[in-house]
Amino acid sequence: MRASVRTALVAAAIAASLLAASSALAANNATIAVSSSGAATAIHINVPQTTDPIAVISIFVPAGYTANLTAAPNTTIGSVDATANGHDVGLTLPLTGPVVTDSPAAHAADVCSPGTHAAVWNLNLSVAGSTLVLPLYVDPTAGDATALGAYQMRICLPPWDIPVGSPGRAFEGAQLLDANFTVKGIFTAPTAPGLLAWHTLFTPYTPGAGTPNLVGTFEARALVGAPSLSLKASKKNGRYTLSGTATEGGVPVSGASVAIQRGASATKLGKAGSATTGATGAWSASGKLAGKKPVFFKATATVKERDATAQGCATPLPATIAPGGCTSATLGAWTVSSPAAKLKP
Amino acid sequence: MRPSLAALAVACLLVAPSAGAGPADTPGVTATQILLGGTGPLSGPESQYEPVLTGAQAYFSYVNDHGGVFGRKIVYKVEDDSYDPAKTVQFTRQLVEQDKVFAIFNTIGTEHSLAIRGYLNQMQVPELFVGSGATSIAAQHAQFPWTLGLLPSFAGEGSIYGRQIAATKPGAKIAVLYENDEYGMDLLAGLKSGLGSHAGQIVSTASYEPTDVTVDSQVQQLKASGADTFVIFALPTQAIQAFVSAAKLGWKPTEYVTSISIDPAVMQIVHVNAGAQAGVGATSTAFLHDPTNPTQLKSPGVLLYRQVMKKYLPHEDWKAVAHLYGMMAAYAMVDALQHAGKNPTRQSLLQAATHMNEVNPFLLPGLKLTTSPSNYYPIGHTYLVRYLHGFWNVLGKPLKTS
Repeated sequence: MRASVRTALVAAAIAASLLAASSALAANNATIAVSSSGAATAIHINVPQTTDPIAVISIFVPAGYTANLTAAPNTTIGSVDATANGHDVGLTLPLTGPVVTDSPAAHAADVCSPGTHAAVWNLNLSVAGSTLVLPLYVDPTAGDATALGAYQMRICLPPWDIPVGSPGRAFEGAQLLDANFTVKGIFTAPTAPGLLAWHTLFTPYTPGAGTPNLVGTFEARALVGAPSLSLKASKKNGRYTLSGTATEGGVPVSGASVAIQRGASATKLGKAGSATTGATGAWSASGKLAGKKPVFFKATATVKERDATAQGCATPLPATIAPGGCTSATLGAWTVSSPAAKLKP
Repeated sequence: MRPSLAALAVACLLVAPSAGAGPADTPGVTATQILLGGTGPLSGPESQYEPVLTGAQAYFSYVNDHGGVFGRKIVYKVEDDSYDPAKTVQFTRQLVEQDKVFAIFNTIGTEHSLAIRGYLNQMQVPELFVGSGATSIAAQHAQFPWTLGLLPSFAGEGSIYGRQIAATKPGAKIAVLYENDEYGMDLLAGLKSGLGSHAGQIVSTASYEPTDVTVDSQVQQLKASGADTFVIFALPTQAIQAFVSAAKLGWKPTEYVTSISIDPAVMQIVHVNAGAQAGVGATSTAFLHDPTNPTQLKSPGVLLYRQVMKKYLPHEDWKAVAHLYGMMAAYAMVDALQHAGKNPTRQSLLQAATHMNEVNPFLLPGLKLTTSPSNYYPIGHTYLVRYLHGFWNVLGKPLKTS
């Protein structure tokens, strides 16, 4: 074959593969949200059913976090709840189980992520006695990857859309749709203000082929900031007025539900109303003051996961890292309480 | 007085500090151990039964940590047959001829057990507590005396549903989904027998093959018959599909489902796929404790189960009743080994296994495990249960299955 013809054929093949990739990319999306409560860190991943099968998920823990990776093998460090579409049985399957540390040496030859890792956590996903164990590899980042975060967590998923009986095919043709996993005592968040991005790369399979489609890699981000809620109490003409502001990483939070409590002491409180934060994160409430004893107030703000793609994906990663772009940014759910405030009638 | 957990589990063991060496001609028995063999689906689409094997393993570990049987540790070697009877035969031969096991224990699957029955009886190797209630296993004990089942009779279970329908809904129009093998056909035959003069009220039946991807078309056909009572004689996956399919078709018959398919996860999956009302009110039978049922949490058997799970299978799904079934089978095996004597032989083990009168803590209260040379159905009674308020609730008194 002449060189020019060969070149043309190669170019055509590349063009075709890029077209195929872009057509697949059009539908691919996922979200990740991260929230913290005490020593627990919860990571929530959602992959729409229409997204191509996912081969690899790489979650980068932002710089400033520290991770305790010293737990001995066989230690339960958390739990996982997931939902999968079992294509072979036509059923949505709820999966649940513990997150358990494993010996990194036992995974040194894993095809998906060979080498010795700082830690390996097994996600045990059980349904009716059948357990699918997914290893999650954890390492401090090195080299260029440090730009994405301090640690990388990597998990590989088997393809579900290749023919039944193919080696390495997902059990029951299970397509992961949603996973919540929580680990305790592992991550410590930095105290600096601001929103931190958990960059997460999703590499899909080429549909029906069971081979990773690297040019289809796309990013989803979880945005995390330390939440806070202020409370100021004042009185006038036998009435009290409460006000405050909800922030997340120092940024005002609108739409947060604020539950107000009052009582005779800072530890004996009952329901006393509710409010919602406005565009500036501010909220207020008022009511009657009765009796002659001091009254204590406390407020607790709660928000659900929120889409923040417009601002969160404004600066996508380079195409060399995420050719599929940044498809979503999500602010995590949290609950935070104010300090107690005291009013004397 | 309520016995302690440890007492429950090991009271029947004679924990001698040292046992005599095994008879020289008894394979699998040494001064320090008893080697048992087994096969089951540790991988493949039917690996949902793996907990039957791991639950038994865990209970043997518990017994070993409490002194074993006459000082001998039980070693249970399990080979993965992927639920393929051909592999069951291959691995059983290997276990008998190369590993020289004392007995085969806890084989999973009717066809699988039948596939090795002739060989094991020819070799006079005990095939004990087979995971099947098929008529052919128990009823042919004269021809195959070395093979003993464990599950209640499938036909007897079917008969209970038939009697229940005849008694509570004598005008029922009945549709039946059943697996197209001995398991399903035994249940169907039992149902007809239990219905007696009402057997003609079965207006439609549909079978499925274990390899079928769905049972949707069968359920559509059964609904179209105009039936108001739906009897599901199916393994868990197909039972779930049947409940879901009926709900999605808007069919609301009185539902019955075989006891094989009442693991708590079955209804959980049904509800995820078809809403919280699907399957509610269904009737089945149960002989085992359900570790998730709030009314049974303080039962000594459930407490022992949780204790063994916590220590020996800490990362496994304790809610899977198959683990508890495996422990129930292992408890029976330990009992039989103990009664086989200090120097057991295959003959003495068979003698013990066919003369059992055991209170097994993993069985529901009031049930016993009894055998005789003419009774090869160890679990002869079971309870009706109904799915209400998120659990299978025990109804009434034990009912005879064999």
